[in-house]
Amino acid sequence: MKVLAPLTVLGLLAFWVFSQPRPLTAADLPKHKGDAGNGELMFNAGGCRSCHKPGPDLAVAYASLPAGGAPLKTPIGILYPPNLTPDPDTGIGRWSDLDFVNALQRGLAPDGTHLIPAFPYTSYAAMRTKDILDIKAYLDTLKPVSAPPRDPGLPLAPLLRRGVGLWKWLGLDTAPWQPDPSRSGPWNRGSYLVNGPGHCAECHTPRNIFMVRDDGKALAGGLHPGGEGKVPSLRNMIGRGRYKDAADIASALRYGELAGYDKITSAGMGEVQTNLSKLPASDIAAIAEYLASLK
Amino acid sequence: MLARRVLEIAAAGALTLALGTSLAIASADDAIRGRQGCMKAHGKTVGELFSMFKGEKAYDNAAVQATLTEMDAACADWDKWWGSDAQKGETLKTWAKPEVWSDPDGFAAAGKAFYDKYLAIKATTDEAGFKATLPEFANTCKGCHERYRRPKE
Repeated sequence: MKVLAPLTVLGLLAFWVFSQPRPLTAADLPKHKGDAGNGELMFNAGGCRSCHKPGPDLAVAYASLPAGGAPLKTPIGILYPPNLTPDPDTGIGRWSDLDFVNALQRGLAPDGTHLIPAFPYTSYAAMRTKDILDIKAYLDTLKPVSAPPRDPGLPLAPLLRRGVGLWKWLGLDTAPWQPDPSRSGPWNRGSYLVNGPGHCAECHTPRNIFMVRDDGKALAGGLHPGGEGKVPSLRNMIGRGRYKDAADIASALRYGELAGYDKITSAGMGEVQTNLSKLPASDIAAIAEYLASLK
Repeated sequence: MLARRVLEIAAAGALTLALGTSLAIASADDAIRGRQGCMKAHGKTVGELFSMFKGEKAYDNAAVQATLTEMDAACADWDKWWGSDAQKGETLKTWAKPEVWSDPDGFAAAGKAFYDKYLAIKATTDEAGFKATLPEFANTCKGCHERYRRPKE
């Protein structure tokens, strides 16, 4: 008992220290005037609306706006992704640029609370911070919608959220995306879109027992986060006969079922395809070139 | 005499049972066959429409109407194919998910969204209207495929 008590205190102290939020500071932000046009592109590449779409009560009036509230099935339960419109009381209207960057690149709410990594900041951390600021500039142009956040009622929520701080030591790699100079411009653009905003790896890469992405098996297929079975591998898709060539992949992403690619629409990928189809043709081709190169 | 009577009854019973079973098999498999034929017709029609959309074939409203009518005819018995006894075929494989039957309202709403766009594309009379409406029409396919169909490997 005499030994246990100090050990417990030490353990709790360690938990408290190691689960601290580690936010970026104003000095980390680049000098940049947000470009809403590029922000919209990044917003579509990330498919932000798919998770942050309005719940059933607002779905008819604000179908196209990321007003939040639609239920999202995750391994830890049903979450209700929040309102991204610039409403000051229920959305991000009062958020500073730094608040926004900390949410997307460090998984922190403005009050320092850890965000549940169903929000894929583990991919957005690799993005160029300027692109993040552009997304904010785009969101600021949207119509503010009043849609109060909905508490998912997670068991032991404060402890769980604090625990995410510990998990980040394993699961959050803050290294920015790096180009490969031996590859073409479009290939690098595709690599950035896939591994940064597109966050493809969040579902298409397997996770280890700590629910951390196993990047040694990058894009080799994972488990569906909503419990819908396996998510296919994106490696060697041409060799395996899934697609003829890079142009065929681009066509699938651009047109989906319109061009008869009906296998791409299942378990949420159809919605991803809808989002990606809004990108410029050159970006879709870049994604396809990168994916076609994966062995 | 009695033995013969027993034999007759047994034979009649066996026949009824065999007939009943074979009918039951035919109904689930028939439903799945109907569903899959209807979906194949969808694929064929969307393929033809897409070739006009991309300009590989010249736009022709008569051809648009013809392929849409053909597709609709292949699906005329749609409402008969989703009985609770048609969740699994005895010999045929189906990709329909249990959600079709556990969430009939959602399934019907996704079907209606598709049918509304079917009417919209059918009502187009010129190339500009056709090209503007076709992506919206094709976009409604995933309304069912995402939630009510298992991934096809």
